[in-house]
Amino acid sequence: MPDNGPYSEYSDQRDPDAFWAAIRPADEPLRHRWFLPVVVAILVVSVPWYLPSAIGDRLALGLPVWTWITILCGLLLAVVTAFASLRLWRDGGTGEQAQNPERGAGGKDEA
Amino acid sequence: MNSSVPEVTFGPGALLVLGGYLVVMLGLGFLGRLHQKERSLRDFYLGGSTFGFAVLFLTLFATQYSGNTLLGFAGRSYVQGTTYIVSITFMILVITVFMIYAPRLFHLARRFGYITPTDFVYHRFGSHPLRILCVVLLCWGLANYVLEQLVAMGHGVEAISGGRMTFMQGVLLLVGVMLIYESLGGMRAVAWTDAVQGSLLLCGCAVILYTLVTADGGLAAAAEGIRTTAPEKLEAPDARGLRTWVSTLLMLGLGVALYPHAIQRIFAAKGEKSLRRSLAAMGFMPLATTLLAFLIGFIALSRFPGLSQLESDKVTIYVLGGLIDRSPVMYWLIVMVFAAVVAAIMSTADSALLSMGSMFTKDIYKNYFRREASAREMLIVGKTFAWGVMAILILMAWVSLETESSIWVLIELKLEFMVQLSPVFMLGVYWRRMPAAAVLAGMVLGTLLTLVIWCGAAFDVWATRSPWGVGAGVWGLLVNYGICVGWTVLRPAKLPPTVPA
Repeated sequence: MPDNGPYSEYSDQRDPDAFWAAIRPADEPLRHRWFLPVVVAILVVSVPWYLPSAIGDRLALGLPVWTWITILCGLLLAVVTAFASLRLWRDGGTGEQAQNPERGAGGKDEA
Repeated sequence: MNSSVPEVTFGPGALLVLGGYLVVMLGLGFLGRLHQKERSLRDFYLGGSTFGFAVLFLTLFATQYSGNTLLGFAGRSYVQGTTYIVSITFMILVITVFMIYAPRLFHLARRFGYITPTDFVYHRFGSHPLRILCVVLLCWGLANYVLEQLVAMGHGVEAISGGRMTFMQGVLLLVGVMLIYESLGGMRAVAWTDAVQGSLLLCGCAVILYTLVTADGGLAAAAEGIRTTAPEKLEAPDARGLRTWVSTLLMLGLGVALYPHAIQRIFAAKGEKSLRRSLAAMGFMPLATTLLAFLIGFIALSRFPGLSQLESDKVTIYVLGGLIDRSPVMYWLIVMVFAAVVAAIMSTADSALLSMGSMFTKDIYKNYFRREASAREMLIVGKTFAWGVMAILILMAWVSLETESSIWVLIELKLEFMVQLSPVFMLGVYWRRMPAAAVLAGMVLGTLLTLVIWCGAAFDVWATRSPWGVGAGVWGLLVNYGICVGWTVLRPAKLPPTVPA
């Protein structure tokens, strides 16, 4: 699919079969089975439910030690998200934009 | 006002910077108008879908990080203490949630030419009541979102002008400039101003970070101060706090990912590469902006203990204002930071307003009032609608000032309802057998449950709007998802939805 190809505006023209035929990009993060479990695992670790009470308000670099766990989990989640966006998502359009008949009401809605 | 907070005086230099900034914004509005290729909704509301990586990333960034991030989040961090570190996780989670539905939505939008998020909703489900309910809930959320920005605008200009301008004068000045450039250039002007505003915001955050970790003993001194004034705010959350943590993750992670103006930026991307790179970069931004807001609240806890809820919204102003007299360099750095705060506020408000205008004209006016309306007529209606909504919101901002409403209350009202659209997108793009009736029933009952819990607390029928530490909106969302899944399993759609005759 070419970037910035001309196309019209959606105008209530529905063809469910065309909709579902067109819905799958060439690749997407959820098609990779590890993606969602890894995200959930990071989130579970980021919530400080497992801390021993002895940790109290002990500090590291001016912040409580337990907050660093959450910050590092945040960094890890950002890395996984960036990887998913850059490597696990491929739209795969091949220029059908310009020829596709289901695109809309037919031509631009000119003033 | 608490006696320990500094009197912040920015001097005439700050007004000069603010004035120059507003002139640049107006110039970009005119430039956007000159670059308009045609009078179509796509050109006005999506900038003709021509945004490459730099503009797309900066407009996403400036839109996502609002006045609320720099003022409201810092205030919340001050009130809640270190447990508000959850804000970093939920802002990153927003981008992770995009990874679930954005690839499919972008693919569909490219092929079928969506302008608004509700174009997808009608295309997928073919239900008029569902489309109208989605528009109402999204506009409700956006209106509160803009209102929150107006309150932040008032505080920001009041601070930067050193009291020379009142809260309402600040609101009227910024709204006036915003409406002019938005009406002139639409999304193109908004995105270009966002690019300037996003750059300012990034530089501003770098300045704040440097200042916070170097001045007055940095974080270590602040932590020791908190140990003396409010030691409980250094502790990890207890059992109820943990439930609130998870509830906050769900509500904000899922809710913010449904902001219609953010979804429309997916539609406005020049191509998939620009979008994928922009979202990848956006995932790291909370580690700069949200973390900074958290640190500002953290430092304010040690320096200005005992602030009221309303005053807590101004801790960013207090913390940075306390540094302004140290040197001329510091003065101009802090002034730049406040210009960035004002920029963040305006960029979020203009995007939300544009999105509301697009949904009203495209989804409601065109479909239910005048099907034969031309693009020119719809653009005029959209702009008129935006100006009218803004007039009402300015009045509400004034009321909120008089009643001492805190910014955080406004955010909760926004997301509690918006998050009810989550199954529409998250399940809607994957589960073909999920019927419109299931989604509609889930949304209606989820929203009603949220309202009941919220109103019960507001009228003192029960003590809290977060039973068991879980927010009203999350209870509504659980019911909502339960109905969608249960209904679909028991009575799945036999055929794809069809267009009503």
